[in-house]
Amino acid sequence: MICKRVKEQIPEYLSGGIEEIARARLLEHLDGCAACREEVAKLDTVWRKMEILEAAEPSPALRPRFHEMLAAYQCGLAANQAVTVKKSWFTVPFSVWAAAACASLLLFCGAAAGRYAFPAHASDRQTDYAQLKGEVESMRQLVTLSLLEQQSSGARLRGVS
Amino acid sequence: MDDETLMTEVRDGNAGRPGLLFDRYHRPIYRYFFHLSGVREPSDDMVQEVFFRILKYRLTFQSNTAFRPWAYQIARNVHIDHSIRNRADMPLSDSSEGRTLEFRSPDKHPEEQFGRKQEIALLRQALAALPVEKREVLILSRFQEMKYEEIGSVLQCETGAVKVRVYRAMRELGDRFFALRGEKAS
Repeated sequence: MICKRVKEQIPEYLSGGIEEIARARLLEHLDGCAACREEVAKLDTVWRKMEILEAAEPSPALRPRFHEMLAAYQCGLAANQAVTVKKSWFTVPFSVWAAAACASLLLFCGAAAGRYAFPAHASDRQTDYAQLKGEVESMRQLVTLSLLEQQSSGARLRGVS
Repeated sequence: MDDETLMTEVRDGNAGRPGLLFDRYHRPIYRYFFHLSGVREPSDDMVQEVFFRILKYRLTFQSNTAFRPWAYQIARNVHIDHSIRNRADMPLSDSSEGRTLEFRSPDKHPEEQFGRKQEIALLRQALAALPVEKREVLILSRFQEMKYEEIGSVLQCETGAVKVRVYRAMRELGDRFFALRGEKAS
């Protein structure tokens, strides 16, 4: 086993987290390697000294502060759930359906009032149709004339085609 | 009930569960910050921030992942953000009094106590001099007693890389400590 790999396993060995087979190999290597034994001894000293650094405790104010935050979070969560329920089952469908019903009613009333107030006759419809046809025809002529006045030959051809 | 089940319940809106996670984790996370920064008050604030983010990002937690590495990833980000805000790497204080790193002192004899305090002061100084990446990996391994796989999840690197990093951090800490003590660092 090469020294580099052994040395990389030293922290695991010191923490007791090394696998049994790897530990046996490491110990076997240490038996015959003074340099690695020295390295283990040095790191072991540091590892043990780190143990006596205080297990620091948070301040007593931390817990009440957390619970204040949690209470605010729970309030927010509850309010959010209430709004969601209200929106999904009551407010939104009711308002949408009410608006749709009002719109339909108004449309129906408007159409009925128009039919009764201005009853349409067949002769009136024919006059309207003829007038509309005349307007469309004059519009077509206007477009043709304006195309013929264009400098582009393509545009003039489109005017006569 | 395990941490993952608790966190899944928190994610799904069980408002009573965050308190249990706080009870389990506020001390270890506090120590993580404390050993990393060496000061008390910001460590308290950072713990509070971690639990706030756990609630805020609860929907990103996946039931099939381990809670501890996920929580420490959040803690790590909180520390990084805090460092950026303070525009410094928050070195451990060299002061041996007040609100900085302290140590247990069970020795009753004044001479022993003095020697012990001196050693701890040197160790603290050596720890403070380490780059933050090395300090962090040592804290996770030594004080949080995390397995290398878990550390890999927190730092988002391979287990083999963690093994090498822990060794190098230990070695550098040893070199600095023995140099401060006036011994030859092999």
